[in-house]
Amino acid sequence: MPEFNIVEHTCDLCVVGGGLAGCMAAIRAGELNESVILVDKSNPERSGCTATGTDHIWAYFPEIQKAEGVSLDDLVEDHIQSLAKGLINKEIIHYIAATAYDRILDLERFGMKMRYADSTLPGNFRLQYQLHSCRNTLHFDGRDVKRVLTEQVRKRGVKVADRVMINDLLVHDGQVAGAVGYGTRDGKLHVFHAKAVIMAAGRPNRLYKTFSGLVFNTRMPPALTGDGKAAMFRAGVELINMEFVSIPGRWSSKNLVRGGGLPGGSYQPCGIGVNGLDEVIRPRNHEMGRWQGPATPFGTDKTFMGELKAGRGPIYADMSWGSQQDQTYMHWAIANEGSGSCFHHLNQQYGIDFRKHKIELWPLEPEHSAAAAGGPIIDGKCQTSLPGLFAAGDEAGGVPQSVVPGALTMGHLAGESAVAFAKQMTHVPQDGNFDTLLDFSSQVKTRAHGDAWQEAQSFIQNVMSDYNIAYRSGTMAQRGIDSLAYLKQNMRLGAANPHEMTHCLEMRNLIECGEIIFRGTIERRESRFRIFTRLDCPERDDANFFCFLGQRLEGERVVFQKHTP
Amino acid sequence: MPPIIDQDLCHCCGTCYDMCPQDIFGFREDEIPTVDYPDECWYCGACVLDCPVDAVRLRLPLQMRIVPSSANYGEPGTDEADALRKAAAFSRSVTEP
Repeated sequence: MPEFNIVEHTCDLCVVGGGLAGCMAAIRAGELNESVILVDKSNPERSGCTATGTDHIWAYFPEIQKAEGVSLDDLVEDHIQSLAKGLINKEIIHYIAATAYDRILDLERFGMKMRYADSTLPGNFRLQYQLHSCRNTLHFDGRDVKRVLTEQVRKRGVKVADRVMINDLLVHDGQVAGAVGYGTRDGKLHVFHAKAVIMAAGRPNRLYKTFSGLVFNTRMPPALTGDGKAAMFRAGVELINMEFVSIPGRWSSKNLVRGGGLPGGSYQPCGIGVNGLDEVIRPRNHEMGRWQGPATPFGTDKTFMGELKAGRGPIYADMSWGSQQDQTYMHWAIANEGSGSCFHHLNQQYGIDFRKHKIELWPLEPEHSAAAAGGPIIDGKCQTSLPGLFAAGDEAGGVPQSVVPGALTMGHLAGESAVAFAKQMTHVPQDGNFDTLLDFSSQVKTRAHGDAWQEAQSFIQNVMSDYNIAYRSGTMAQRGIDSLAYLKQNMRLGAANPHEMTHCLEMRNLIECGEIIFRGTIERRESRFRIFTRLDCPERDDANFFCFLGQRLEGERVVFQKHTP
Repeated sequence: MPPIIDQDLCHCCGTCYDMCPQDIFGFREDEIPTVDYPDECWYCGACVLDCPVDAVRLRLPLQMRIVPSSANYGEPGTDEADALRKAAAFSRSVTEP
C-alpha cells in the first residue's frame, strides 16, 4: 500500500461542489455558521454548468405575472403539469417558484446587473418566454456569476478547498460524518470530518458517446462525472429516477457544441429554425417589449428530428433576422450564456457571422438531468434519506427543469437546513470508513503498466450508448450490467500523476452511475413520455409506475422502493 | 493545441492555470503555462476571458469547425418574421424527437 499523504479537515458543514447550488449553500451557511468548508473539483470561480456564465433564470415576477393574470400557484401548476407531467417534488418546486425572485435580488445585491433601462417592463427586467406559459425568464449579465458568487463565499469566512474531488461520504451511526476526496493536483487524500454535508456535485456527464466523437466536446461540463451520486449510493443513500434520460439531450451547433438553446433561448429574438428546403420550422420570437402574440410562441408543429427523418434535413438556426437592436440584444445574451462569449471568440476567428451564415444544428448526447432529474430523494428541507446529508441543484432528484433557479433556491435552503442540523450536534464525528477508496486508489497508484483510463471511458460510453438508448429493454439493461461488471473485474487502471488518478476515480463513479441506471431500467417496466422508453414495455403504466422509483444499497443488496410524488 | 498563449504578451501570472475547469494547463512560477492535456479542453473560454493581458486564444481542431451556410437574411426593420409566424401553426414543444 503506497503512502498517501492524508490531510484532515474538521468543520460543522462540508459543501461538496462549488457550482451555483454549492456556492449559494455556502453563502447562506456562512451567514449562519463560522465553520463551513466548500470543496470543489476545480476552481469555483469557473466551475460547473455556469463556469463562463448563464444568461437566464426563471422565476415568479409578481408585477409582471399578475398583469398576465398568472398567480404563483398558476406558475407552479404549469410547471408540475406541462413540464413534469405530474412527476415532481411538489413542495420543492413550490419553494423554487416562490423564492427564485429573492435569489435574483441576492445576485443584484452581490453586484450583478439585473435591470436595463431599455426594458418597458416593471422593474426594468429583460424578460422572455422560455419554459412556462407566461413571460418569466429573466435575461441578465451572468457571464461572471461564478466569480461573483465565489467572492461572496469567501467574504462570509467560508474556507474553499479547491482542486479536490470528493469520492466518498463518511457515515457513522446511521448519519453522515463527512466526506473524503482526492487532491487533483496535490495527490493527497483530503478527509473532511463534518456534522452535516451538502452534496451539490451536479449532473452525471460523459456517460454516452458524443456525436462528434470527441469526449470533451460536450454541452455540459465534462468535469461532472456523477461523483456525488456515486458517493451517495455507496453510502446507502436512496436515489430516485436514475433510469430517466433525455434523448437527445438537446440540440446544438454542429461540430462546435454550444448551449444557449439555438435558435430560441439566448438566440431570441433573432433566431429561426429552418430545414434543408429553407422552410421555417421554428418562427422567430418577436422583439422584447413589443410581443403581443400568444402565450406559447415557440415553434410550428414541425420538430427538428421529424424533419431530419422526413428527408428534409439539414436543420439550421438562422439568426440573421431582426433589427440592429435585436442583433445587439442577441449578441449580449449569447455572451452571457455558458461558453457563449467563447462562441463569439471562435466565430470571429473562423469567419462565422450570424448576419451572413446560418448554423447547422445536430442532436446532442443523452442527458440524465433537466427533464430527467435523477438523484437522491429529498424532503422539503433538501435532506436526503441519510440524516445530516442534504442535496441541492442538479444533484437532487425529483425536480425536473429546476435548472438555474433550482440551484440558487435549493442551495439557499440546503444551507439553512444543514446549519440547523449541525446546531443540534455537540461534536464533529471523527469516524468513518473509506477503505474501498483507499484500496482502489492505492492499486491505481502502484500499478506499473496499468490500463489507460481512456480505455475504460470508451468501454463505458459504448455500453451506455449501445444498451441504454435506441434498443433499450430489460434484457439489454441486464447485458449492460454484465458488461460493466466485466469492466470492473478486468480493468487494471494505472495513473502516472494526480491528474490521471482523478480520471481513474471518475471511471469508478461512471461505472457506479451506469449500474444504477441499468437497474432502474429493469425495475421500471413501462415507458413514460420522453424521459423513459423501453421497447419491451412500450405503454405507460401509471397504476404501477406513476412514482419516484428509489434504489439504495443495504449491505450487498439493492433495495427498491416506490414513492408517490 | 486548443489554447494558444501569445508568448510576447504572457506575463506568467498563471491565471489561466488557476481558472481552468478541466485542469489542462501546467504551470511553474515565472514560466509561460503549458497546455498539458489539449484533448481535455472543453472550449469554455475561461482562459480567454480571464487572462488579464488577453494573451490567450483558442484554436479549433478541424472536426470542430462550423461549416458555414448562407443565411436567409431577413431584412432589418421589416415584418417578414411576422409574416412567417402567421403562416406557421404554433405548438409548444419544438425540439422533441
